[in-house]
Amino acid sequence: MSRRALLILVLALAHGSSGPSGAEVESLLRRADALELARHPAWEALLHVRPGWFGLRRRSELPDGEFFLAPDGHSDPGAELEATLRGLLEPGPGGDEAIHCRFPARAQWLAQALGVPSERLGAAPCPALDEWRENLSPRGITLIFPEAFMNNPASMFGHTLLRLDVADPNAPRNLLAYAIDFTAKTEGDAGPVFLAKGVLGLYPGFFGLNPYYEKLELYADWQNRDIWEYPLDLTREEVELVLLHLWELDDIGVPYYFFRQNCSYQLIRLLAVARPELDFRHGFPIGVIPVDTVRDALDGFGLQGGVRYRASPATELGVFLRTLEPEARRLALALARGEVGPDDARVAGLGAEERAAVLGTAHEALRYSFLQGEVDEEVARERSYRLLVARSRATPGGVPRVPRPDVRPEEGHGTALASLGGGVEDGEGFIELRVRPALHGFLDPEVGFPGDSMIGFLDTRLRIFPGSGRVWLQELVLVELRSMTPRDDFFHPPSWGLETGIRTRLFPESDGDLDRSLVWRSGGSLGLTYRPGDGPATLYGLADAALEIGSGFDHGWALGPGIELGLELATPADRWKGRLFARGHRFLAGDRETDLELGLGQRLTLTRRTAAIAEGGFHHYAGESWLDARLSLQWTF
Amino acid sequence: MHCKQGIRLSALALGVLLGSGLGTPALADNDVGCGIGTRLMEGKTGLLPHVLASCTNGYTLQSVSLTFNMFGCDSTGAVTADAELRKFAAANIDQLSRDAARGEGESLSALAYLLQLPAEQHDAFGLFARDHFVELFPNQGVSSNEVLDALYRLLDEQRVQG
Repeated sequence: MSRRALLILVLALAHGSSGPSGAEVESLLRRADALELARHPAWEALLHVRPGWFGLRRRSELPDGEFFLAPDGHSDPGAELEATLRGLLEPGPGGDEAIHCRFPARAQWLAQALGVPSERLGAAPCPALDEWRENLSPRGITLIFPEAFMNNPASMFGHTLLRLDVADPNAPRNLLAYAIDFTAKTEGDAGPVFLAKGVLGLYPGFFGLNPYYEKLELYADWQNRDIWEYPLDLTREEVELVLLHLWELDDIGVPYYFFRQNCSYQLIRLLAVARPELDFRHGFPIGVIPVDTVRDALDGFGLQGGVRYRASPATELGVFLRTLEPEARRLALALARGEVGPDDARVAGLGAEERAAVLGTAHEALRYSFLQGEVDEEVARERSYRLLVARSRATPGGVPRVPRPDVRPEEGHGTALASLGGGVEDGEGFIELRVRPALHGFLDPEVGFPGDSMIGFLDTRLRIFPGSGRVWLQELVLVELRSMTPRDDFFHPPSWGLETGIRTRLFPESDGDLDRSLVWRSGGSLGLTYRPGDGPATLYGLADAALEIGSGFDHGWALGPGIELGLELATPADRWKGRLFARGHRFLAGDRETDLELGLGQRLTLTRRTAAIAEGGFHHYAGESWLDARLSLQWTF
Repeated sequence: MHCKQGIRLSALALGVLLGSGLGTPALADNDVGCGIGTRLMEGKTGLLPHVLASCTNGYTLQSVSLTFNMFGCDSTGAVTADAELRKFAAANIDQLSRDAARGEGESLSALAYLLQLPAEQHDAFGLFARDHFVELFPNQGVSSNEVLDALYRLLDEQRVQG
């Protein structure tokens, strides 16, 4: 007999005098023990228990407090199970405070697992809960994934929410459905304070419910993010259990960690009460990346019906502008800028359908310019109104549909990358190992990713030189961001970049040899990108400033401006991509040296997960020049 | 915090209002949106890239509760007849004006649903809104409540004529 069973027996004897309900409690506790319910994955999911290293320390991730009935329920799922069963069966507070009203998912699951009718674990009505459920009445759950927004690689990290569908997944009625999200209560902190507190888990996170249209307004209308909707294949019972568990989490502040226990993590944990085996199988274990949780959820549940793509107003505008003939496009942009009025003869002279397209496009272009801060508020409202009135007088409908991208975000390359390769640097051979936990780099396949952006975290390269037996940390780049959205006659975003991390620099010695030394390099860049004729070639130019600190410098540091020019080429389906760039820095403070690099890189996609990379370059620093070349095979997961 | 009746009752109440020809329900005037473009103004983000945007964006105090932001409740817990409709219109006035000018769109379909129009009439409702664009949106400063009041009036006239 286990120690727990013995304890229960003792407790049962002690409670023997409390009447028939006491005997029932003990009998159910014995049954729960025999069935090992306290170790059941579903019970652990309901308590948000995650095993620590090697499966030890089974503790809840929720903070100790009102979510637990037993004093040690936070760290002892068995004690919590016993306290819950006692609470459900023994006389206690009534109405909304009754245990089966506060913890309806636990009550439902326990009744099912113990094989007793659910009324036995709480029959009295729960007015607040019942009304809340009736108001929501979900028929299904759709996972919502807003893509990155234009010109903002940081948002590539992403976001997810869940929608409690009230109708078929594609019905407009679902605009009125509620969306569940998990957000940090940051009290308006911003910048480094926000970042530091977010990484350290100092903000409490809360589940919230808001109409889906409010979320669309935020992500689609204001942030111009395209949105993907994945209807998950849950049974009605599973939807119900998720909803009941959400109720249990009302007002529970859960520590929010930027990289791991973030919004997407908590939403998967919420869904796990329906499928306890649901887990985080994708990506690198140090962080939870929202698009990886889309993969996890699809693996765990599958899809119920088609995936919907909701293009943002900016994406729609791009399609509208491409749909128009050049003359009509110029007219639409002139209307948006207010250079031409809607009653102008050039507009009136158009056919009804073309007039509708021109006026509709002009309105969206004006809207976009306003969001960019390029148009004054009163002017924008007045002009927008006149365009809409004129649009309502042209042919109704006929709005161009934005085609859904062929590849969905979760079908893109894995967010983590590892590669193995070899090369030669200034005549010396090396083997290179690379690991990048997240997320997307220049040479990575673009399919499934918003193009023209990159974000890298903890990109690490290690080189082994078999000739000398030396092992060298080549790079450890903490963060690198680049946004290179091409400009055209309407969209003119700046290109920009930020980076900080450890890199290797070769310093020429007096004997002509090159000495390897690590420097901490931080820099920022600003420039322009063009893609002539929307073709395969992209050209860019960036001006930057960089600070490098390291013992290899005579002064210990170097600071100066630089410039980078580049050309990228890709085949239509992005099977192959190549880039050529020239970079120059003139350090004006600290060590006053000139640094030049001419680089060439190309990637050939082999399979969905693998690609071959070839890179090479010419380097010149402090009067010395050398070459390097490397070949590698990369794997994303 | 919790209201006594839910969405179904408010929709029913609206049906009664429409059926009885009372065109201008004067309830829930507190959360009006003020004209085309107002919502856009609130969301104005400017040129600065949100370098730290990620999972946390969208934090607001209102989203912290699971029940506070529900439809159909006011602070006393009583049902406000067409609060859901008015809330939707206030939050979507930009989309509604754009879709009405186009004569089609998801926001109009959702509005038609809230007005309890049968699904087969939703397309016709879009064209109806487009035909009456200037009556629904007489100027750029029109509030969402004024739009809805005009819509009730037009639908009543339609009903009388029909």
